[in-house]
Amino acid sequence: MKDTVYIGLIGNPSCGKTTLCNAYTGGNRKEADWLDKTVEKTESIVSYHGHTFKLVDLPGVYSLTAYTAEELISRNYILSDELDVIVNVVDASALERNLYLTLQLIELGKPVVVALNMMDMVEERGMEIDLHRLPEMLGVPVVPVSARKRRGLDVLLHAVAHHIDQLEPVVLVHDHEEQEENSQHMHDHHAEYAMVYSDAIEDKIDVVTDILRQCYPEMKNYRWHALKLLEQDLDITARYPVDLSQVLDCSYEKDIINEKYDFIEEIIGEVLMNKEEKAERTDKVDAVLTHPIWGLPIFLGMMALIFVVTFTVGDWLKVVFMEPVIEGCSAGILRCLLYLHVNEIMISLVVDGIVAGVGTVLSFLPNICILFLALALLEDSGYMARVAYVMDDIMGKLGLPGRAFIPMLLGFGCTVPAVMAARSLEHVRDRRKTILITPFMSCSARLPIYVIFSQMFFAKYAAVVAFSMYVLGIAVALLTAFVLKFFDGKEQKQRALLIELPEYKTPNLHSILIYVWEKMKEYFTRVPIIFVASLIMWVLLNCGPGGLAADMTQSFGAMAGKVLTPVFVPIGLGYWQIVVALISGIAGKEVVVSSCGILFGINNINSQAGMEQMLATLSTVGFGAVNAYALMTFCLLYTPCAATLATIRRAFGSWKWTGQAVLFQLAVAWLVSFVVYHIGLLFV
Amino acid sequence: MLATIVIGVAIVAYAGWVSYRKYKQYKAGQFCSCGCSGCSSKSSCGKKE
Amino acid sequence: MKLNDGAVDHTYQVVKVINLDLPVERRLEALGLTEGTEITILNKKKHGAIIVKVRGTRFAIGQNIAAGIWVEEAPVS
Repeated sequence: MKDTVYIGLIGNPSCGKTTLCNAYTGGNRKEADWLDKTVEKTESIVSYHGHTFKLVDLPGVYSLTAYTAEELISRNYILSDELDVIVNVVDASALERNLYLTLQLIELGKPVVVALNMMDMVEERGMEIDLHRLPEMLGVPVVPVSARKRRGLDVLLHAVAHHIDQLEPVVLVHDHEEQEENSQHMHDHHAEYAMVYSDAIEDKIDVVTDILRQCYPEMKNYRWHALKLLEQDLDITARYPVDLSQVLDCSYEKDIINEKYDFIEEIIGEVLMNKEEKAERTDKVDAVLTHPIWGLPIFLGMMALIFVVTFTVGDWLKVVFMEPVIEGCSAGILRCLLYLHVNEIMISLVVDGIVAGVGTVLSFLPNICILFLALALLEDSGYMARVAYVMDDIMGKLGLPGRAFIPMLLGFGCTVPAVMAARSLEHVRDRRKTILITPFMSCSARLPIYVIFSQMFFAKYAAVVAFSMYVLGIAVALLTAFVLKFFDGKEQKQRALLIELPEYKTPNLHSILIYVWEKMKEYFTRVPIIFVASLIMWVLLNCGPGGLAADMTQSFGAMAGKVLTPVFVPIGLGYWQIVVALISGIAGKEVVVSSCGILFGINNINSQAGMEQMLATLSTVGFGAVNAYALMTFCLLYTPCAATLATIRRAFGSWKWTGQAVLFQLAVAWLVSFVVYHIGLLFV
Repeated sequence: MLATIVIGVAIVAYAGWVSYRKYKQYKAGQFCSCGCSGCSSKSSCGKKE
Repeated sequence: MKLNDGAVDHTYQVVKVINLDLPVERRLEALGLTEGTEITILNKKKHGAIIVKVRGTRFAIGQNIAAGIWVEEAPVS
């Protein structure tokens, strides 16, 4: 056996491929469904009995046509020389649909091992699968596994190891004698191929195969290529042009697909017992959650609940955990520096600048964790897919496909993957619109801003106020889409929603905790950036034209801020400190909070004492609740951080569009803040 | 005084290294502000639509 | 009749699929929505997307797509 065996993991979306991968590697990847679609392949390495296996997790696909990028990637990888064995992860609870891909994979001609996943669900539902008959009908080994419960993993690898060279092929046994007798076709394929087509097709396959043999003598697997040409597969037709005018009067794709499904029905009939699955549970839940009238309010209610929890539990954790730790570290560092007789200015730089900046950002970790935990719970349970359905009407009225809401949902976590997800939308116009409005969906980095300011100025109603920011963001995004629709022009392409709604399942706590842990680690990777940003901030705020500034108002930072302040006066943000803080938001939105702390001379702004101090300071300059709300609004809508800008630039492909997007967002931020501010003043 | 200089140099060096690493990441097409292991931008970057 | 006009909790049989973009049609076929396939409507919005069950799997289908799927009453088996 080779040194390293390359295994391609392939299967339908949400069949548990990634969970399986995680199970082998002790896993750090979240199951890819709605929020984190695997669009590219990812690799992991597993050792078993002295052999090394490289698991290549391919994108989830329903079939292997040339119609989408994901399918082509998977297909080309499998056909490449690198891949040794295909492990087709099949969702046993949805056997009928999953087998379609299996048949296609078998036809590719490379060794296939079927990993029949979710066997635990099958058992729960009272279904039974004849594991003896299934491999006989498919001609490939079938290994039952349960990725969630980590069963069958070793057996699977063992089967793979033995199947690579196909030394012991699985014997095909099926009841096709009648067909064989009635067939006029020259060859008896039934012993060799699991999928045998009708005479008409088999005859054509022979003809095309002959032509291919003449033109491409080096080709491997004529049968598959012949089938593809009969289907008028774009990719194969382009790569192997042959004259098929004698044979090909039309595309046989439909027939081939139909015949495959006929065979699948036959397999199911033989192999699946007790087909009446107890799927009632999901239907009952769906009746409520996707109710024509109540579906939407329920969704909004869920989101509201999430934010309430994020605040209450998050804050509790912060007070109990983060604050003592951060203050302790801060004090400790200070003592160290004093002990070493470090220069006063340097101390200020380290403690007031860097430690304060980094500490503030870290103090929001509990809130962030809870937010991601909640989103992960919703997704793992299967609810997120329903959201696309619930939002579909609204999206349609805005001229966007229902699927576009998913990138927007992603934006609640981080705008960067949201923009990436938007790139997978089919029409350029949809992509552009979605990318333009996705930054309005409040990303997790903005959460600290709401937490601080809503707690400072709105006390008891803090959670409500913060929630209102999210709602406002969604509203502005949808409104913008609506307005943009009028520029769409006559060519209204069909906006088509087509997604699978998986069964509801109790969220797998293990994989969710892994996910949250990963997000936490990712949050920590922000620290270096914050470090540098805080450093720069400190320099800008403590150095002025005459060297070290006596006080902050003489610094470079202040000067820059004061220049721009007039612009912000009409929206209630006419304070140079606020302006500078907003500018610092380019590094990342959390920096706005730590900047505020530094700019107003507050240590540990994210603490009871710090907030009281801040509140007092702000009051003396006339900054009240309405201003706070305007500030939060502006932060919600204005230009996203540098990382997002770079991603947008990449997605649009030009600075011109990106520049327009930036100006647009700034304008919207200013206008909405203006409106919000002045309406607010009416109430005060 | 020595401590001050050492710390100062360390800070500048670290800041420089972080900036350099970020620059390399942008060049390579990774724009993640969130760590890139879960981010799909890591893999899809560098592709033109 | 078009799938849109069907009733909730009823099972129909697919007659034909027309008027849809080719990729969408192929996607539907890959999911098993071929002629003669049974399709059950689980949930419906007044003028909007539909949730159906095809070959044991649930799907949410947009209005436009549903309009292109023609069905008839399924024979009682």
